[in-house]
Amino acid sequence: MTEITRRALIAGATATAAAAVFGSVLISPSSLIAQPSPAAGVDPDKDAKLQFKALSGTLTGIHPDILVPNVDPFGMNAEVFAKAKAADANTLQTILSKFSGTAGSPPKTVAQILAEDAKDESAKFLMRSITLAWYLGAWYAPQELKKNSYAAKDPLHNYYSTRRYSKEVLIPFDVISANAYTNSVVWRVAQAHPMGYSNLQFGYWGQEPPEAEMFTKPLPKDPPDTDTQKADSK
Amino acid sequence: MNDTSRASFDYDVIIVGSGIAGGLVAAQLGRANKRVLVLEAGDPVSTNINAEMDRFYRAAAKVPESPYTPELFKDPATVPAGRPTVLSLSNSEDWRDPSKSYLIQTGTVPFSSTYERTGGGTAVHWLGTSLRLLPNDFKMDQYELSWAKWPNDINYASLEEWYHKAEEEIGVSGSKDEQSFVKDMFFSKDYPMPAIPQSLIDQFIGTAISGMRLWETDLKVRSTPAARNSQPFKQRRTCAGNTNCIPICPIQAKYDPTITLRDAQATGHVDFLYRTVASRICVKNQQVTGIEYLRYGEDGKQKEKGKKTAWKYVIAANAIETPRLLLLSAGKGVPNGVANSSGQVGRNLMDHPMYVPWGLLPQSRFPYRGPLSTSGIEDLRDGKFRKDRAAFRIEIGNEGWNFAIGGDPNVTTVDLVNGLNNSLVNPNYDALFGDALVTRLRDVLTRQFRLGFLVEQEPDKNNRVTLSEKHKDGLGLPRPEVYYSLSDYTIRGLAAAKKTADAIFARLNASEYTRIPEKEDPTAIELPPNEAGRRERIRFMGAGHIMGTYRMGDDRNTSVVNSDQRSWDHDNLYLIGSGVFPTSATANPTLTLAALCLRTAEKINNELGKR
Repeated sequence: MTEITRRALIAGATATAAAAVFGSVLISPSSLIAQPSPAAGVDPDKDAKLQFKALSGTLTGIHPDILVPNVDPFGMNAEVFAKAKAADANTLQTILSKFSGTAGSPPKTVAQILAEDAKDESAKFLMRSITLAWYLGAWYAPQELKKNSYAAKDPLHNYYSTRRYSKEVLIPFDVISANAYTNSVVWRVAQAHPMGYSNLQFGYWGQEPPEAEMFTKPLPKDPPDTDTQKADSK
Repeated sequence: MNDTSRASFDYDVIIVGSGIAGGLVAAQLGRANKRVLVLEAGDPVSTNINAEMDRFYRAAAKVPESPYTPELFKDPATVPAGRPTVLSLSNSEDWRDPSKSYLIQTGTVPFSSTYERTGGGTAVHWLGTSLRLLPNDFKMDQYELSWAKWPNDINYASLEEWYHKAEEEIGVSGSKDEQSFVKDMFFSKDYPMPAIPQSLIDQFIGTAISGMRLWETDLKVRSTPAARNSQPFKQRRTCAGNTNCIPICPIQAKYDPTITLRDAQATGHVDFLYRTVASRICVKNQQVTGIEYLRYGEDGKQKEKGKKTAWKYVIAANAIETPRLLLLSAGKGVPNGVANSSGQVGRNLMDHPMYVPWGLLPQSRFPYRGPLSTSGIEDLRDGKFRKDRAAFRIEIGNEGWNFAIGGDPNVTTVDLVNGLNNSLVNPNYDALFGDALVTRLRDVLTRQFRLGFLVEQEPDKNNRVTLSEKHKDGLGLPRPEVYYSLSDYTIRGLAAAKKTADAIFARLNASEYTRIPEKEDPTAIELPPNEAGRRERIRFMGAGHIMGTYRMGDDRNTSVVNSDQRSWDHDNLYLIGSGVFPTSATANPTLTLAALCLRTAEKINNELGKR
């Protein structure tokens, strides 16, 4: 079997990312078209979305440049941001101001935001909704998460939870879009690919996947091409 | 009957149902220049698979029916061509609620398998597993069981060439050496394509159980023959491991019947009528004289009644809809329904009751990669134990807990983010984010695995499809009523499956997370006392393998069709598909039904003669 080098994997991952761009456009043009187009090139939420990218990186544990690449054909950040804003714009603004810091007030960590939110919990459950949106491409409304979070300790809940697809325990959710599903990051954590959306090749499943960090952190810059250098020196 | 009378018919052959059975016969006859009409109750085959993919991606519950139309969330009484769905069957008490469940269920346990009524039939979302039956599966009388016999001329040796033809037709990848594991199991030729590579999970389990012996049998993990391309085949691509065989392969590297329908249509001799529900088989002087049908529009409203005639008729509507149509057609000369002088139509409904244990391996073996299943343990499909209890095969899943728990990775992810414990991996109700979430989730997801024990079901005349007297579908036709139960013999097979699972989990050093169902769960089964005298409770699931209900045999008094799948009562009527199986064996039924259909297509074609 051919030895798989880290370099080959990086090259493969780059090719995969390129293929994914075209695959996504081909499969789900509607989800891209459906994104709000900034009026006259000015997006009033531009700064908020940048803050949202950083917050999302912290919440998910996935590097922000993986979630939102510099050249971003997926627009997942805009989709998740739009869902969070539609769910609770005031709380979102509060979270982003605290997280990014404002004039005279330094940035706060998620733990600090949670501590300040202990009483009303609106930030806690909105941040959970945002985390799940990135992980699963699905929107779990904050109020549903809150309701279910406490119901989980109810013995009746445990009774029903043994049944598959039980209405009594399934938290209602909507897949945000086909694009959001195919770009959801839980698959990166599993070192896999979304079920039904793979750009890998025949037989890959019989071999170890690339190391875990390659799925959740940006690729290092290309190492010097030693093979080429050797060839050149001859 | 001479050629003059034959020309007076609309078609040479009318086929009801465009699934794998009807499709294979249509394509074979079309290739032989016979004029064929296919009536399909459901929607046409989608012209663009991306529409189905988009529906799948956006579906909250990615169940087998999710890519296919119509999306059913309404009262089955309003649907022209209803069907059972996973959600309507699995959801607590809904299985007995006729406003939710298309099937009217009156049995002791739910009939938990579903089917599609759409162009391509149920195998649009089959797994692709293409096992042959074992030689002894055709000879269950040797185990002193008073079960129905397969016809004398249907046995492994006589079917072998047809198995191979079916494997060529649908494109099976496999290893004959790995599958020749019991006496008299021979392969006259290689599979058309080499075996699909084994997953890391297969490899791990294979190594761990090496040398393991249970039920006087050595266990071995074998690659599963599958209708999935291991190399380009018949203008279709090689499998890219999308891990989505059920419900839909995005690149059609897995065979599905829409491929055969395309071949049939390309002959230029096969016509299709979609959204056309056969409502009555007309019979005069014990000859079928026509098929009456109801057509409906995209809006679900009936728009046309009609009747077509042919020289020969083939009913290929699956093991629930075929007996339903036969019973619906009762009338003058056929008071108990068409083809039912034996009284056997609708009886002996079978499935492979499935026990699915799941857990975490001691190391990451990376599920959610590759085809949904690439290997199995087949060695316990036959043995002396069949005198006492049901046999089973063991399927190894590559999709983590997705199928087992009903929707992972969502369930586990929501648990760890929202502080829940539906997956049982979060007993302290931790709610995590950031690096802690990544680390914990990765540890769980990359170690998930599940097994599936598919148990042979004893044929039981009381497990039966009849017509509901009270409940009708959107076209006013009585809906199928199903009585279903599991016999003691079958439950002893499930108990042996549980015991085997426990032994394999111990051998793997795996942590088990299988949920024990509550007593009131409709799919809970109380097992007989084990060696320690303890009664355990497990959940069984449906395998989607609907069999029996118009079985074949050598005696017209105890069977519905002969070995050619021809009705004993009406010699221009054929009833095809897994409904003809007298016994279920342990292999999924598709390859065997395909082999039988190719054999029958040749018989029909020979009778029709050259044109």
